[in-house]
Order: sequence, then structure tokens, then C-alpha cells
Amino acid sequence: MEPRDLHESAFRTYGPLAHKLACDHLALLRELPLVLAAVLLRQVIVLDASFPRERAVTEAQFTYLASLSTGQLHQLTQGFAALSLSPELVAEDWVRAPQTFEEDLSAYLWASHQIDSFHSLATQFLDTVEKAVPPAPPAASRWAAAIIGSGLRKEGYPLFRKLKPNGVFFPNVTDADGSATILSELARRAAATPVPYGHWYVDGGDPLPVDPAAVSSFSWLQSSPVRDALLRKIQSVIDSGSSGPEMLRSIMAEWAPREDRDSHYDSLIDQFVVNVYGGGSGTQIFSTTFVQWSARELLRRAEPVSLVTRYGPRQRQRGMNEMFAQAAEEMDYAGSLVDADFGAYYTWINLNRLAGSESATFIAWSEAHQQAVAIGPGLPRGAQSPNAITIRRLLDIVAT
Amino acid sequence: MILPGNSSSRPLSPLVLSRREFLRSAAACAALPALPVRALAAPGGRKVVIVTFGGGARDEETFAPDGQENIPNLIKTLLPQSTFFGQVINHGILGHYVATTSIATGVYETFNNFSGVAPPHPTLFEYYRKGLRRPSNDAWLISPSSGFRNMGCSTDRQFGPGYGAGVLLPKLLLSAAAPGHASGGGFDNLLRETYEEPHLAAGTPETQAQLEQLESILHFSPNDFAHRALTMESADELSVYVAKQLMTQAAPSLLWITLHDIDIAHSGAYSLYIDGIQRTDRLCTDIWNSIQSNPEYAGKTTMFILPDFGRDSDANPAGNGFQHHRTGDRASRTSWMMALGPGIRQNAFIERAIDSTDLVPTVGRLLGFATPFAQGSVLPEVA
Repeated sequence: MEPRDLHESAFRTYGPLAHKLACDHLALLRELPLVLAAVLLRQVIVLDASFPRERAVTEAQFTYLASLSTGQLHQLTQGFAALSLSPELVAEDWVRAPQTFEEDLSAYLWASHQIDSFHSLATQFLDTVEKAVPPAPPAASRWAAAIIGSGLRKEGYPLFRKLKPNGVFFPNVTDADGSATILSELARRAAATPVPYGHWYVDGGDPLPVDPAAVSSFSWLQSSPVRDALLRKIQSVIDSGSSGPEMLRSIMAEWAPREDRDSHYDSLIDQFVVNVYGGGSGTQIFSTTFVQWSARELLRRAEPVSLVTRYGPRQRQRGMNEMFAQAAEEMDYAGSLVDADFGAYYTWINLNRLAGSESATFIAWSEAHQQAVAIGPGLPRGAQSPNAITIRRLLDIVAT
Repeated sequence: MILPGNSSSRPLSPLVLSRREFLRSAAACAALPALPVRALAAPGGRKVVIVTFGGGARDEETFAPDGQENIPNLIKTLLPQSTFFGQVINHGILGHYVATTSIATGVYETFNNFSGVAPPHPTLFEYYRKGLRRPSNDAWLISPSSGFRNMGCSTDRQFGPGYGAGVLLPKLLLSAAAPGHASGGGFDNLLRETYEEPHLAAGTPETQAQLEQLESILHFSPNDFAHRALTMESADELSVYVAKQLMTQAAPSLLWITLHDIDIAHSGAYSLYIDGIQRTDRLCTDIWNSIQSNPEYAGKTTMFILPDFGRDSDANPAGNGFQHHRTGDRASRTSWMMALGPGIRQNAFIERAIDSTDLVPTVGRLLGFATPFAQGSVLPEVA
């Protein structure tokens, strides 16, 4: 199907919000090159399971594109029309299954050496849209904290090596109750600036208590029914021998748990957790990857004002089939520390990609090593504070 | 290419993210023809060993200042003896099977990375064997998994199966040597497939063909092989063990070893990615030392070490840093190559950018055979 042949009936499988947006902008979609129309519909089709910030971005983007004259729209999108597509791609049902189309398109662009051209076009398109529709500033200065849990230790490891040059290193943090203090700060921020899905806590083990009315949260432990159900599915596919890794990956990405199961979470968080397990690589087997990828996706999608991540130990590496089949009893504490250290660094990088990053603050703290690093607009870079300090005091310093 | 700062929250990013990295387990391996085990030496006695520092490693964790601690053996032992190419650009598809095969054909192949199919263009092995009229046991390929099993021979009608490399798949050799003990028998760390290529239960390996390779080519008894394997840490260690035995028993003049432990990075565990790099560093030096201590190879062997490609930059919002190689950015396309051996300048650094496809014509010039369909250029610093 070509975009010019689109009708409202093509969106009948979409959720209510998605259906409305697509129908409202049907005239625009008909004018777009097929590749761009499919990529935009990939966003639209998940609108009902999207966070408020994602919905706002998608809607603003359509509003902007619809405001352009025919000539302006042509100028902005003509590069996508120049991409060569195979007849098989054009024949795909890119309206009802834009995700499948996107995967096949990606493979085709690589194979036909058009992936770099696509990246250039995408960059130009994104630059133009972002310039016209600047990202909304956060409701409060963003704040993120990464806690590297008490069991995670590796002697001689140069902790926070990537983060230290960007802030102040505290080598002597003495606080037996630091995690609770950080979560108290999260609760205080959530109360001070209530934002739906704006304040988050992700735990890589057994979570500490937070007020679910104020803070959105999920954990490795509480989400184990979702993870176990997916792992059972993976195992059944592997045991059947009926599909290769490519199909297995597709099955994981499209997998959905039974609707009648119990869930700890509201529907948006529940769907997010399913996406973390089904779409993330390694999230199903390593709790450290689960936390890092969750933080990355939350920052990208929910654009939170506050985020606390806490890393626990991950299982020791074993044969991949074994890890899919069952969780190990043996933990890798030293490896988990290294993973968490790098995960904290990536969280800081992703925090900096959001609007308002110039005023964002970030702390990472290792309970076992009693070391922390704090980064923020009022803090010097590459500095060290040798004096003993508590987490409460550290949070106060970051806030000033 | 670096996408703009906040583009990860924009609609086109998922397309880049969705690039799949899976390799599919391929069909059964072709049986090798019965031939004398040890090949006569190639004309001039010159040999070439190619090692792919495989699985995708970034400069940041290898030759960049912070990364050098992960590769002490390359830095201290091999680098001073080598001509080092600091910019090897891979302009092809950044999937391990298709990229490694492209290095072996000298052409950026465009087949489906997940298919495990034989390449359409002749491989280095075919050029070598046909050009110099070498027997099948003089060119060998050691592959990390069954997904790479068809890399040794193209479908080109002028070349093809009559000129391909012998292929050894150490994991399948071990499965054949210790049937029924693959899981829970202490071999899991060796039989481990990458995160994105779980070992499928179906597709039973051709046990008889593997046992024949073990006994007639490598001269291992299955029991000894399995017992020795228990002392090893990873699949790549097993591959190097098999390679050294092959060098001792068959002394092929053209040997390609594809290492792959580093690809554990797809699981998102940075510590395991670093472990893989450190192990690969050690194994590369181990191979070089074996070459120097083996009279069939010492003083007449050129060794090339190169990654198949890098991994995504931390700065690229379309990726997730070291975990994948999906963006096609500079970090994921740029790697390095080390050449060592007689006639190769030592301690030389080549700054200009070269291409991943340059290896095949360079080896062709070095050993004296034509590589007519290869797209790369001969590297004059080496050949």
C-alpha cells in the first residue's frame, strides 16, 4: 500500500488514542513518503501505552508537520522518498504492523548500503522538528541517583572513573541508611512537584518501600512473574528447535503476558516492564542490565524529573541456555559492581540528553566502597572532597 | 554518525535500535574429503595466520588510553613487533557473520546476516587453493559457532566447494567428544553461544563427522579432548587449543581463527565484555607464541589480528554504548589491524584509513595468488 491509498479503516486495530491521532492526521500521512509514514505510525500505534511525555512529543510533531505548506513538507521529507525500497517492503502491511516493517526496513537499508543515508536524513529531519518544536522544559530541575548496593564489591577497582572528571568525588561516605535517605529525597521531590510518571524508582533486587501514589516504581524481584513467563516462552521456543535466533528475537519483542495475571503495577508501568524484558537485550538474565536498560528507556520515554536506580547482584555467567532456563544461585558481586558502575555512567549520559540537562544533578554511590560522585551545575569538575560525609549532607550539597 | 542530542526520544531512533544482530544456526556441516593429513608446504614455505579479535571491540576498551590496561599483551608484546594500522574502516553490514565473511572475501557482502549462507564471492581460501593449486588440508578455518560454518567456501561457480577451507567447529567437536554432557557436565562455559544466538536444542550435530575430524585431523582421542576442555574458561580458549593442535598436526599454510567471546557484550554486562577483551588479548599472544615455537611456522609466518568491527559510541543516543553495534557510527565502523612476521616493519604505525576489505588482496600479494573479485586494495606497507 502507498500512503496516498490510506483510509481511516486501516487504523481500526489501533488503540483509541492512536486511532484518533492517525485519523486526525490522515491527510498528512497520505502526503508522506512511505518510509516516514511507517516510522511515524510506529510511534502512533503504541500511543495508548505511552507515557504522557511521549504522547505530547508525538502529538506536537504531527501538529507541526500538519502546519507545513505542501512545499515545506516536500522539502523536509523528500530525502525519504528517494530511498530505494524493495517491492517486498512496499507490499508489507506497514500500517497494521509498522514494527515488523521497521525491522525489515532496517535490514534492507543495511544490505543496500543506504543506512548511512537514512541516518543523515533522520538527523536532518529530527533537527528541523526539534528546532520548530523544542522539547518542553522539566517541571523541576532533573535529579537522578544511582545506588550500587551493599553486596557489590571489587577490591582495587577504579570506581566512578568515567564520572569523576565531571563532578566531585567523595571517597569517604559513611552512611548506614543512605538508600532510605535517597528515597526520602525522591519522595520529597515527588510531593513538591507532582508530575504523572515524573518520579521513578527502579530496583535491581528487593525494593525498599516507596509511596506508590507519588512515585512510579518497579523492581527485578516484583517483576519476576513477567520475567519467568517470558523465560518459559523462550525455553519452549528453544526446545522446539523450530526457529532460529532471529525468529526468537521477534517472538520476544512481540510477546505479551496473559492479561488475567496479577500485576503490581498500573497499566503503563506494566507495559513498560514487559517492553524492558521483551525488547531489551540481556534484561531477562542479568539484573544489572535490567536496571541500566530500564533507566535508559525511562529517561528516553518518560523524561522523568526524578529517578533513583539501585543495583543488586546479578547471577554469575553460565551457559546461555542455562540462564534462560533458570536463575543461578551463585551471584557475581565483583562483576555486578563493574556493571553497575558503567550503568550509572550511562544513566548520567542519558540524563544529559534531556531538555533542562544544564540544571540537572546526579549522584552515584557505592554502599560497599563508601564512595560517591556528585555532578551538578554548582559543583566543580574533577574535584575531590576527602572529608567524611553522609548521604544527607551530600544531597544537600547537590541541591545548593 | 552522531545523532543529535535528544534524538533518542524521537521517532526515527527505534528504527536504528531495531537492527537485529542475530545469527542463525546453519545447516549441517559438509564432511571433509579424506586427504593426507599434513599438507606439503606452500611454495616458498610462507604461511599466513589470520585472527579476528572478534565479537566487536571498541577503541575505547582497547587501544584508547583508558582501554590499554585491557590489552597488556597486545601493547607490550605484539605491538612493538608489528605494523599497526590505526584506522580500519568497515563500510559494510555490522553483523558478525556477514562482516567476518566480508573480510574473508574482500567484498562487502549483502546477504542476510542471520542466514548463515555461504558467500556469493570467492573467499581467500578459494583464491589461495585454486591460485596456488593447494590441497584442501592446507587452508583451514576455525569458527566460533555453527552460524559461521559456511564462511570457508563461496557459491561462486569458478571457485566453490572444490577450493574451500576445511572448517573446524570446536563446540561441535566437544559436543561430539562428550555426548550427553553438553549441559551440566562442566562444558557449559565452552559451549556457550552468544546472547543473541542461544544454542538451539534441535539440529543435532553430525557427531560422526566431528569425531572423524577429532581423530584423523587433530589426532585427539575424544576422551582426552573432553578431559582437556574441562580446564578451559571459554569457547575461544577451546578454539585456540584446537588451532594449536591443528598447527602441530596439519601445519596448514593458511589458517583463519575467528574469536568471538567479546560478543557477550550484547547481554549488557560491561564486566563480561571487558573479561572477553582481556581473554582475547591473552589468546592472541598465545597464538603468536605458538607460531614462534613451532618449527613449521617460526620465521615464515605472517599473522594478522583485526576486529571485525567496533561497537556503538557512548555518545550516540541511537545506541546503548558498548552493548551493541547497531548505529553504524564511527566507533562501530572503525577498528584496527596488526600485522606481524618476517618482512613486516616492526613498531610501525600507519595512520591513514584502510578498509576491512583490504586484507584479502594483501594476503594474495603476500603469498602470490590473484584475488580478482576482491574490492579492497593491497596494503603496500605489508605486501
